[in-house]
Amino acid sequence: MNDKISFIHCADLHLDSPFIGLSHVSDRIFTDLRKSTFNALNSLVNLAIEKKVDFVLMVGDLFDSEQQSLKAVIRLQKAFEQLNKHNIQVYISFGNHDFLDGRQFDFNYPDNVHLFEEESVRHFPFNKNGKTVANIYGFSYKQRAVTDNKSLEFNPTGEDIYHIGMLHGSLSSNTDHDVYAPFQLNDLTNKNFDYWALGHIHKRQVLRENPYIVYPGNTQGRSSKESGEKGCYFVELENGQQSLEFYPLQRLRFEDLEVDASLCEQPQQLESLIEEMVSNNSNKIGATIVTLLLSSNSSNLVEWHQAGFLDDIIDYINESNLDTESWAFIRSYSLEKQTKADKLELKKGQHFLGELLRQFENQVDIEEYVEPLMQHRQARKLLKSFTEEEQQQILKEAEDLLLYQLLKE
Amino acid sequence: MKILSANIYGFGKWQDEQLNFGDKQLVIISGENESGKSTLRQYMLFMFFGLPPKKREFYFPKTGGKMGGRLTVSTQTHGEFTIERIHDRNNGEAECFFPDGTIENEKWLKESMTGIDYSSFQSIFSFDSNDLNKLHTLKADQLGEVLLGIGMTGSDQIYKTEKHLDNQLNQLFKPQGKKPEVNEQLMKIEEINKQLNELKVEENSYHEKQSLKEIISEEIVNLQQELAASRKKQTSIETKIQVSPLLTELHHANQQLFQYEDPSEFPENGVERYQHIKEQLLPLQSEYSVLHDNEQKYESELGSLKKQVWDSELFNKANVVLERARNYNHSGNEMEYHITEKDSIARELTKDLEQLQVGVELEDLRDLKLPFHVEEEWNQLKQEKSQLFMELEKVDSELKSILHQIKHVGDRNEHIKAKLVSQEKIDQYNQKVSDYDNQTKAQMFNEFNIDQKRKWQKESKERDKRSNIVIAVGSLFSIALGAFAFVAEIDSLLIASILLFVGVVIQKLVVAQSNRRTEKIFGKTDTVTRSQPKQEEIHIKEMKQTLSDQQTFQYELKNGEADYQKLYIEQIKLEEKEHFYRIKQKRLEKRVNEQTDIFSFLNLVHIDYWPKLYHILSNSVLKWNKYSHLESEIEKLQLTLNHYEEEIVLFLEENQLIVEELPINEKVNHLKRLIEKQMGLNNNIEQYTKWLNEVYDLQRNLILRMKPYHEEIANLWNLARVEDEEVFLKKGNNKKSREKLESRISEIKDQLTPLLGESGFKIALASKPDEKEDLLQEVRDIKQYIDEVEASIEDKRQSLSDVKSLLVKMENKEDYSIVKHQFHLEQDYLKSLTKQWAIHQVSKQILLETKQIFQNNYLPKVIESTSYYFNLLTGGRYINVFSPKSGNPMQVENNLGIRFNVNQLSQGTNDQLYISLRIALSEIVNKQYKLPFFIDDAFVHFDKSRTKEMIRILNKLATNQQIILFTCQDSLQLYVENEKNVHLQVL
Repeated sequence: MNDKISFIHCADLHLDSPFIGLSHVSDRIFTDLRKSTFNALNSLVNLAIEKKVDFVLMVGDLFDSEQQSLKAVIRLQKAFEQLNKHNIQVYISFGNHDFLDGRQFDFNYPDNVHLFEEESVRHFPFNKNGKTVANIYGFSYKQRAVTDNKSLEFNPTGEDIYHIGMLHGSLSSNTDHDVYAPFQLNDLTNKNFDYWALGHIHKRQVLRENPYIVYPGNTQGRSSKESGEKGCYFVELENGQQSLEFYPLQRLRFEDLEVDASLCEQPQQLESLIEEMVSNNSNKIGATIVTLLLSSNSSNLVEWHQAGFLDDIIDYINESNLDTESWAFIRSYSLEKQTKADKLELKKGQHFLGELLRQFENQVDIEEYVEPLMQHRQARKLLKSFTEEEQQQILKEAEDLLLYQLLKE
Repeated sequence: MKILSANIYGFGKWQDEQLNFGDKQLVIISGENESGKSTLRQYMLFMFFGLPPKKREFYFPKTGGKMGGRLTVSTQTHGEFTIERIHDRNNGEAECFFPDGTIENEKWLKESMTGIDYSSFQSIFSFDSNDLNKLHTLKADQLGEVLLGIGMTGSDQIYKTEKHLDNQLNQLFKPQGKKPEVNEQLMKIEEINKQLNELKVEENSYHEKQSLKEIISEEIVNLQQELAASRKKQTSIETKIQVSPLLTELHHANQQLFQYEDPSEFPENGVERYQHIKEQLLPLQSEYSVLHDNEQKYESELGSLKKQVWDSELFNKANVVLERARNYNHSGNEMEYHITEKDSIARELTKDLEQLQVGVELEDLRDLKLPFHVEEEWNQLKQEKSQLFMELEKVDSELKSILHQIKHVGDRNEHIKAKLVSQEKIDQYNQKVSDYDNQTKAQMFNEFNIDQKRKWQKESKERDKRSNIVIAVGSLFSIALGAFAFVAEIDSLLIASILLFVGVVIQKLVVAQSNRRTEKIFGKTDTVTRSQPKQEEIHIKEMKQTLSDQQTFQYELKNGEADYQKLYIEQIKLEEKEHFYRIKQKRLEKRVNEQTDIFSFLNLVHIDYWPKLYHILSNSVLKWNKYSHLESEIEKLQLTLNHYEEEIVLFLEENQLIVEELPINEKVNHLKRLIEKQMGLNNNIEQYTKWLNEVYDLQRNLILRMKPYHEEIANLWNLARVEDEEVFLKKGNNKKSREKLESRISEIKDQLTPLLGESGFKIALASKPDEKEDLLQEVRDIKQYIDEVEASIEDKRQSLSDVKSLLVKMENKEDYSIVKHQFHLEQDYLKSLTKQWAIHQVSKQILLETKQIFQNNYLPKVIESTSYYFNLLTGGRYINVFSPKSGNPMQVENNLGIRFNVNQLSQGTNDQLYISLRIALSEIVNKQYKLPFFIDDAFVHFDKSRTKEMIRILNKLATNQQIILFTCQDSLQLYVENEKNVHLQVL
């Protein structure tokens, strides 16, 4: 029937886009962070060449239009040239971050690059050995938001070849992210496509297997929310057979690490415990940015936390753990239990603490409290107001802080 | 709540210890230092609130054995129960045993404590000497604030927390500061942002640079093209300078060439061909001119002859006139014969008419017409006249007979009329007879009517009687009913009785009415009186006889009048017949008159002879006709002769041929001679005409021979588009000169084309050659321009390579990327700092708000209670405590009404105030579920009397809430020996 084709499906490269939730990293880590998205791109190109794929699908958000750097465009261009030397085609659709109208640099990509430059669905034929073996369908975001169900516009031609759809958008039921180009799984399975290459959701997931409907996730995690391995899918289609294999591309990973400090009676003990766990972890999985989740059955942790010892421990570990390729960096920690007091019981009391805790239950207008900072000339420009989530966190931490301070002996 | 006893399984130094507080409100536990007072206190707290495992470990019995114990308490709400905790059972959670056997768990215990946990219990329900010591270390200005805090939480933590938060906040951020971390970070980020924007602008210039690169490249290409073009132009001008003389000649020749007309119109070798034709044509032309002379001579001779000769019409006419002269003689003879015959017929007729003697003359015959029907008419008239006469005779006799009969019948009728009576009388008789008959009939009807009336009167009386019975019965019944209704007060019955009465009355009225109406009908029939006219019958019979006679007379008269009528009609018929014949007679006479009017001579002849006269007259008319025919023939011949004479005279006169007056015959002869002379002239003309035709033939022959030459000449002229020889020859010469010029130009072309090229030659041909000096100047200019362009290209190349290297540099530059990442990291750091600040800020604000609420809601009660205890403790020296107001710290008032700020009080007094506050607070906070109050060596600084007072007060306080006092002062025993409410436990 049809010739075998193989390709790489990736999305959301976010080249050279900044990292979230990191501060005060060493120069070494800073450089690694900064180059990580390009490293992932290089790995992708090397993988494509090694696997001798027919083409590469890049389903949107190659870079961030608003933060687009010349470097990102040049590096991308070089990557395409490299693929071109190996006669590997590249199909690109642009998403909500690299929407067409927001582009700052225009470059002449080599001939192997096929851009979907319209918001309505078009297709490119892919030719192999002189005949068309696949049609690749896609569209690009013209503006930041596409709110129509674009999947309805994907209609395969009647040809007896592979039909592959490139769709940057999200399931209409998935409200965790900004919902763009929303679709329902039925919309995709109803169409006679052989592979659905999705993009936009940074978490890797295979929504359906026959045909494959796949989010490859992004190629490099950029915040603690984007933990684990990140990379692309290597896909082979042949006579109704399909295979899908994940290849990690990330230079560094974000990981959560749980540490039980119950046995630590002294801060020093905790320090060596954490250091051991963190370096073991990074030796195993490579350079890692760690978010610690500390728990203990003693009240030590809370006291150390409130006393600032935990911050000191982490600074110390971060400074001493730099030399290896598989470095580890602890970005933050959180405590499983923040206070030793029983808030629920206290809340019932007629005493001051009870009143204080009840006060937290009332509508607390944080915005009003933080006005002195937010009205500050410089801060006004640089700071956004706290999100609902942040406000909750602030309230909780404030509550813990007060309880600790008021009850400490 | 009251602690009754403790059974310690193992806790620190305590093991298998049984303590019983004897259900006392004030428990004093006294012992030396290290005697285990504090451990015991911890044990009690442990029993209430439990301890985390680590801390529990700390209190493991030194000698081994299980850690834990029991504590029996009694509360107002739940009565007596025992709390048991064992370290390794249920993670040290409590079980509460009730006397009735029910067991409750830790959760129940916690709920019973209503919001008090270990920490809050510590701060509210217990204090020790340390707390007091802390109070002593405070600076004076802090004291008020700390005491306020103690009034709220039982400790100085609010004050400390506030201080701590303020410190942190100030370290993190100050709105106007520079040093705090957030301020520093803000400045740092602003700096980075500035740098980032600059780099962004630089990166954005990449596009400009790139388009600059393209523009320069394009400019270089354009300049190079310009250079090539200029060089080419230079070469071309230099060539021009070389061939300058030739160009001048070429231009000159070309200019001349334009002066000549287009030679294409002139035939090839036209002039030579023309000359040759002319040589051939010349001899033929001279021969033709000789013939032309002869022609003119003959034509003039012919012209003079033709002037003398008549034209053919005149000549023919003359011959005709001459021919007629012969008819003229013949007609003269015929006329004479006709005249003789006419005269003989005239004589014969005159004789016949005279014999007839009816007055008809010879001349009358001319107008007499006798058509065939005249004879018929005349015969008919004769017969009709005789028949009419006979008819009239017969009618006259019949008429006389009828008139006689009429007279007879008329007389008879008059006789009958005299016997008739008048019509009126007859009518009168008839009336009388009929009246008599009617009277007889009426009498019979009247008798029947009287019978009927008698019958009805009888019936009517009966009906009246019945009706009267009904009215009597009805009225009675109605009255009875009415009375009953009135008595029984039944309205409906009353109404019914009235209705019944009314009904009865109506019935009576209806019957009376009906009788009256019938009576009226019968009343009308009057009886008819009967008469008896016996004598009248006789009179009637007479009248009837008279009437019958009159009828007979009338019948007879009617028949007589019918006869009279018949006869009268017969008379009229005969009269009409007579009248008819009279009319017929008149009509006949009219027809006779008509004939006599036409033929007047008939008047002289009786009608019976008219047919005979007709025959005689018709013969005479035939002879007259012959006579008049001859007469007209003679007239005709005379006319012919006259006509001819007039014709010949007219002809001669018209053609002016007459010379003198001659008789008619001479005139004819003269005409004959003239005709002969004309015939001679015609012969001469014929001769000359023949000669002239011969000359014409020769001329035509010559023209035919010359024609080819003329055609050839016309052809040549036509080709040259000229109309005459002069122009033709001029054109011929023109062409020759032009061909000469063209061959020269062609020669020059052969020389120049290799140098200038085909197009260059064309340009040179069209334009005036430049001056050599101008050309040399132009070459100099171009050379200079080329130098400039070359320099410019060099410049552009340099700029291009600069731009290119700049672009490569930009492409490899990572500054923007680095700063961008930096910016975001710093931004995140700023965020974490601001979050820290926000946490502290929120903490502080909420703390302040809670303080405010507490001050408003609880503090007044606490202070009130404090005042009470303070008064007690100070033995009435101080009577009031005031909570802080508007900047003033807490104040107290002594028994003299003087107020002091707390920092003005002595240490001991402050201690007393502190204790008062603590006790008051614990009382307010936990009113319903009073927990025991722990006091640990709090009175070390008190003198004996004060301590004694203190004990006394505590004893008093203990009535509200159990107080457990831990002390190392054995002296206390003295103060409580006799107190029954006090349990003293010496360790």
